[in-house]
Amino acid sequence: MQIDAKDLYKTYRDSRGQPVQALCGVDLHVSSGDFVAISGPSGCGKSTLLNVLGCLDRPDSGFCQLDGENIAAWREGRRAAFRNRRLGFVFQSFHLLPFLNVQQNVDLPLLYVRDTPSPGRQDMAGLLGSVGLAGTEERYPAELSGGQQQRVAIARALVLGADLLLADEPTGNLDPTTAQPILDLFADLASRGRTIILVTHDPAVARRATRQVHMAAGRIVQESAADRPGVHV
Amino acid sequence: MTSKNIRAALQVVTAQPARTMLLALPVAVSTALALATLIIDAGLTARAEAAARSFGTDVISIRPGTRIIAGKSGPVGTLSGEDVEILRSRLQGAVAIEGTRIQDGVPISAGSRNGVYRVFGVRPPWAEVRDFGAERGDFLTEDDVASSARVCVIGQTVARELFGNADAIGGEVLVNQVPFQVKGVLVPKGASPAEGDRDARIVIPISTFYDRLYRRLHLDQIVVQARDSSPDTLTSLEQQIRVVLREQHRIAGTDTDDFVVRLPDTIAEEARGLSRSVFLLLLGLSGVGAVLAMLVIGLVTQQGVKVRQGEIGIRRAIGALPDDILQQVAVEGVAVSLVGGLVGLALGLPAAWLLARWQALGLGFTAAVVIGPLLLVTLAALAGVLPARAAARLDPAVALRSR
Repeated sequence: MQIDAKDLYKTYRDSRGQPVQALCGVDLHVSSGDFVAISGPSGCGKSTLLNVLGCLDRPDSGFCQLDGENIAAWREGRRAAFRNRRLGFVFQSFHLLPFLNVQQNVDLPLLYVRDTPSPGRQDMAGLLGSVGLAGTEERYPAELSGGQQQRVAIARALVLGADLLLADEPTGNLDPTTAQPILDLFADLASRGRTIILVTHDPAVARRATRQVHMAAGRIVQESAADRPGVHV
Repeated sequence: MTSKNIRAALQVVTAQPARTMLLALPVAVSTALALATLIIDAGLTARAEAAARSFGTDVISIRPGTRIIAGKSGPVGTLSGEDVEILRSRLQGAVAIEGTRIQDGVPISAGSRNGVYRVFGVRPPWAEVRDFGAERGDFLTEDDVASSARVCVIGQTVARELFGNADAIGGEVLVNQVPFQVKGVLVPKGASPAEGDRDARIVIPISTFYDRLYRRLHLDQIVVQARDSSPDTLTSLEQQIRVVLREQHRIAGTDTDDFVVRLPDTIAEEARGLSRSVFLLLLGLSGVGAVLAMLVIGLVTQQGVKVRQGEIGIRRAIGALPDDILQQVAVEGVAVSLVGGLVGLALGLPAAWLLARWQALGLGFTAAVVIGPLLLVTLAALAGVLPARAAARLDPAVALRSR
């Protein structure tokens, strides 16, 4: 999925009612198949940017196109349908539902499909196999390791064939040896054409991406590409 | 309401059975209590109405007042034949007025068989007023009264116990050692809460009662048959009776009556056994239970919304709309309330059945029996709606930040 964001601004009020400038004129262009890491200190606005790109939050001003469509103009119903069908979210704390087994967790997005006819779900065994979870259909999140739980979350993000994955500190709760295979999985998905935006404060994690974007104080301050020339700011 | 949200809610409710049952418990208890109370009350009301009906819905009873003598409470002999005469001449709206003498626990025998029964001394019109004539044989006549004849009409129980399968009519019974000839057998009336087994009685001329058995002048009951059974007629008659009898008995302004007037309503109320106030207390308790159930469901759901921010956030992230969240959380409340209602039904119905058996009541099913528990379950379900609205308003970006 191609992303064009220009001049995004977003101001919050914190719990004490003080305004916090999360985004102060962010420009970002992402091409299909890019694996982008956004890094920066906490509070730099990287999660806010992810939420804006993920249609969970609206910018105060600016322009944001996903595959050529301006998402700022969309009503909530359209945004929800877009999140359902085109986007996949992966979070630091997994956000699996503890009372559902692996298969039910992975299938959860099917519940909220609005289009008719509804798209067929991917073959569950194949999907779980592709994220390294073969044979865990009936297990519950509490019976899985952290790395396995994050794989369930990734399978859930992919179940309806999302072409943009948004990952917010996906390895933040994992130790380095567990984190590596997860990052390998992202790299593998990107190499097969999925666009991935990963937010992290860990430079080692960011280095696994093909593009690294550094943010500070609500702005993109530096961008580097790992294995290809050119800077896309 | 869409099926996906019902499915999501049922997943939550069924995946955590212990939590669901705990939440449903107050609903179950108050539903069971309301159900049992309403069923039993309906049964008691039916019994009371039957009692009033069987006594006569147009019949007012006047009994002597009671007075405490030597530490014992007993009836005073305040009602007389003169009272009957004066009531006959002055009451407006009465079609018949009859005085009776009544003696309980009278030994009666026939041959080798004997029993203890209630003896009524009456005049022939009494049968009309109380709708209590002879089923077989004859009732008493004016001649029987005029001649103080030793004749009687016996109840079905008396006939069965003293004569078995043999024909009682024409037979002889000894009433307190005095021989009486049986003229007829009374119509069957069955048991009444107000009067006990109404077939365990015999009826003799009121004059014979005085001349041959118990020499007392006063009457034990005066029955007044009203023109109709409308409350207006009955209330008016009650007031007239009190005015006439107070005057006749020379009772001063503020002194209490030396007689008791009972309307069909009073008879019904006495026949309920379990008083109305006990019923209201029980109903109030189940009302308190209902409020408690609403509080529990409301507060636990509200707490749940806080704890479940991550779940709500992820559902929004994968495509749920605020309305989906609202419906899901509301349906969870409905499902828990329904579980409570069903458990309440499963507890309340057998409880009501046992109580009804114990009290020898019919099971009463009225509209209230259905509406009461239904209302309770509905209120409990509604208690989940407010927190559900709060859940729907959560900002998904904020909700997802929670752990």
